[in-house]
Amino acid sequence: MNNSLSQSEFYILLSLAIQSRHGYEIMKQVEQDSGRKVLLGPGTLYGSIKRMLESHLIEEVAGDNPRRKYYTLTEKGRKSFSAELNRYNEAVELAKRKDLFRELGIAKLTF
Amino acid sequence: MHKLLIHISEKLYEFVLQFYPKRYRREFEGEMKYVFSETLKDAYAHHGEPGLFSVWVRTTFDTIESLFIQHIEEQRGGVDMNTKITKSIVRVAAVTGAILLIPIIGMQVSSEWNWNLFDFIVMGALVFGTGSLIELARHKVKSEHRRSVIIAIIVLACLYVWAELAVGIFTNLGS
Repeated sequence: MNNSLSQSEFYILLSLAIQSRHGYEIMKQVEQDSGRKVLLGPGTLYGSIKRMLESHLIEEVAGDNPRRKYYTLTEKGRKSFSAELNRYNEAVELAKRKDLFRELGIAKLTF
Repeated sequence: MHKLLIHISEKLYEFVLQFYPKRYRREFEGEMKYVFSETLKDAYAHHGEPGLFSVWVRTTFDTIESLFIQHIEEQRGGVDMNTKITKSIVRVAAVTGAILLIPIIGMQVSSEWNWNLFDFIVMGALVFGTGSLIELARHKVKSEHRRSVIIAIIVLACLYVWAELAVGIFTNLGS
């Protein structure tokens, strides 16, 4: 559905999939979900947020702290993120069927 | 002491934010300041002063890259710059800018460092050219081994040209 999701955008959508968050919460969640492989600075974070607001993948909502801007997934964002996850899932299933994890020596991912 | 460092950092970042396009600033300036400030406090709480330094290193590259992207997007009327090629160019430009900051700062603190406009242009072109070739190799050369060899050759060639221009090794181009 959306082939242009960057790594940061994917993780931001992932962090918003369960609940709405403000920028700093998104940043910390991305850091945790990616095992500290994706460390977003404020510039990259809000650059991605701006693009995703413009593409209507996320929207601003009211949150607990009125001084912060909270974001949540839109219906389009939810569909886009689901499609992306499905693609990953299909790729993993295919790799499992072909026994690629063992073949490539990726022991950790052997099911 | 750390409170002062955090306060100075916040003020410095606030100043840097002025260089973003007006529309972008209106929308995100307050949030970016908040995120930066919380990141600083968190880094200090976990790692002390080295933590602050590490935040600054990350934020410097992040800010230069994002400044380029936001200004180009603004010029193009909001066209998405999130493509591989554009990001590569912006990354190379950001690193070039960051490297050129070294002599700029050096000239402020030492009279030994005396670069003229030509030096900056040559150094900028050399770094940008090298960076572009490395990015090209990263994206076009599939084999990891071959890619590493090519990148090593590019870096060595860059260092050789730099040394040749600076002091002259086989030629008298050096100053």
